Amino acid sequence: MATGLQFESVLSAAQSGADWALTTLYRDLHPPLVRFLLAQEPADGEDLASEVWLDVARGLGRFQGDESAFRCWLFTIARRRLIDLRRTRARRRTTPVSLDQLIDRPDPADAFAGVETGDALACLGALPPAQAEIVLLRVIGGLDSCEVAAVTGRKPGTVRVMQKRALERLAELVPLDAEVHVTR
Amino acid sequence: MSSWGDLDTEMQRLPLDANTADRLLAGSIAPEDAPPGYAGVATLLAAIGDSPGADEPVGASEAVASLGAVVRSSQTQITRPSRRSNLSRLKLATAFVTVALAGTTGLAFAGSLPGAAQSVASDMLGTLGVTVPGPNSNAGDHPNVRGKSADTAVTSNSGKGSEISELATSTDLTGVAKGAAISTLASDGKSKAGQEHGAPVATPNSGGTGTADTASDGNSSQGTSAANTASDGHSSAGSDNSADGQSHRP
Repeated sequence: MATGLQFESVLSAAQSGADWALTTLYRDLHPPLVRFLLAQEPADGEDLASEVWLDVARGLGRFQGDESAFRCWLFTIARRRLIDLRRTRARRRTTPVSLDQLIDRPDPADAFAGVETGDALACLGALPPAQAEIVLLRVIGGLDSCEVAAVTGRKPGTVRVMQKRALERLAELVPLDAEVHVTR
Repeated sequence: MSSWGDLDTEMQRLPLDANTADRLLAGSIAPEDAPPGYAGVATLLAAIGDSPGADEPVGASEAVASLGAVVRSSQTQITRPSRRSNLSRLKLATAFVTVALAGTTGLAFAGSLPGAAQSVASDMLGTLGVTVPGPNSNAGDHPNVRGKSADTAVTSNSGKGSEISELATSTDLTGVAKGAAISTLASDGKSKAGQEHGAPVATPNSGGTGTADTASDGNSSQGTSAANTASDGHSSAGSDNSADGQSHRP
């Protein structure tokens, strides 16, 4: 953990409702959780993160496992919340958008001219959703390929193939002569 | 094919292997160490994974306070069903035992339990001062003792069988007399074997005609006469037994 505390002691205290332990967990995991959700649902990411933490609080007493398992559990809940949101949205009536509005949308490849964090996240929109999700879980969630497989319900080999294809697709999008710089 | 002298931007992008892709995503490969054509990807991944740092998230204290309340209320909710569950299990077990006892006692009063169970119930309830029929009250004239193989063997050896066996091996009688004696003993005197057939006739020879001659002192001509009558004198039956040896052959 970022605080250097043993996860077992933090988890045990958090399960009894200790504020310091909950604060430790929240401070460690809330930033990547929000970034994961915002990358896929920019308008609803914050609300989804709150719902995920409420789910975690409800099920915390029954959780058993180490830090890696806790991180997997957290992102599994987040992924299910995303799926629920998209299902709900699919049932809603959509508002038609004129063609003129669509013409003004930026090309995802333009973001690579000068890479900033927000632009980089937006560029993942050029990937198929499943591949973008795997990249986000790997890079933002800090999960390895086996943990991503567990979270997404796929086989580890499938995840490795999908992440390789995602990087190849991103490499096609990045101009070879692009000057890449990161703004933090 | 690009030569070593080419710039990175001029080099052709090589296919990515799975292990390198895995390391790129894990952040183990810096952009300058990335395979040709993947430096931009490595930078992009670093930008995506860029953490805002250990700063306190906005509204963290309020969020944690609400989370703590939810955790504590969830613990209460988790504990309550457990108590309720244990209580309901205890009630269920008590009801089952009560019903089983009442049912067994009722069957015992009715005498409908199996023999062994009825016996146990009768004994136990008898110690409590409750009179319950025993296992043999409904047995009628059936024996109330369960037979055993060993008992049967002893009875057989000490009874009629042994007497018959002794008679068969020790008597001086032989033949029909011995059989009749054994049969009489075995049937408790009901058998008439060897008693109503008169004295045995000694067999002088093996021929039927000879037997008749002997029995009738040579006067047995009845069969011959009957044969002659039936055949109008053509029968030769008994011709050999004729006293004078004359032949009636035409």
